[in-house]
Amino acid sequence: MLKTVQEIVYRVTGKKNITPETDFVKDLELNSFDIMNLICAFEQRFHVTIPTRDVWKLRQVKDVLQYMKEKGFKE
Amino acid sequence: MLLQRDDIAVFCREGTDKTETDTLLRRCAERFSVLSGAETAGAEIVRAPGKKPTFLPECGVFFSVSHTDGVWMCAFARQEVGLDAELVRDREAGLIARRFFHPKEAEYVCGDRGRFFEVWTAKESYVKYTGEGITDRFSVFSVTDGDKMADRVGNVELHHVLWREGYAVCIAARHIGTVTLLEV
Repeated sequence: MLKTVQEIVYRVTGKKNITPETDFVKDLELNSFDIMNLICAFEQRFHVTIPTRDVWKLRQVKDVLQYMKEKGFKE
Repeated sequence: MLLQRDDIAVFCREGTDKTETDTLLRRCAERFSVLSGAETAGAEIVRAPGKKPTFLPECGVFFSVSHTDGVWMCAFARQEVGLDAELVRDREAGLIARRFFHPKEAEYVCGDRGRFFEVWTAKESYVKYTGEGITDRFSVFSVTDGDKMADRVGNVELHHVLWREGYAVCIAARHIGTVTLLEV
């Protein structure tokens, strides 16, 4: 699943070298619009709806991985 | 004083990133003090989780920072203020509009990138003004008025700043006087 997330992040933001510890705001310097853009891409790829209240809990790549696992996606 | 009570100063810097924010904020605060007569000496920039950055102790000066693609901007005012700046990019405007905008806003945007960023910056400047940030309420309020942009949300005024072609910039505040753009 990490590879999928890396591909999405690259496609949407052009950023590489993504690890589970990568922080979307601190490390990638994404702003709110970039984050929402990413959220849309995650929703499309994983076929889930991420409530806006949950968006800000997904600070790092590993948070996305954990969130998707909890939604039933496997590695 | 050059700036009156409701006037807002927007400081811009190109070729920078967020790491310089505090240095730039201090520089802007000094310049704003000179321009407005408001005193910020001794006030520290404080950030608390879930709250917007502010000066403490309170000094009657408020600011809002935005950055996009190497451009750093900050609005300074003697009232609560929200600012958002975005580079107009080639994104799936329709998808994001349907997902995060009010239905009337999505209809107004109708796949047009320029309109999309006009709406986005207006909405984000408003939620930065209120301090709530982007929440589930983001799609509940509208910054459009039929087939045009609204000039306010409730009792909060919205002002689109013409900065440079290819960028959308919006300010939200209770009363917006003159907006002055300054390099920093």
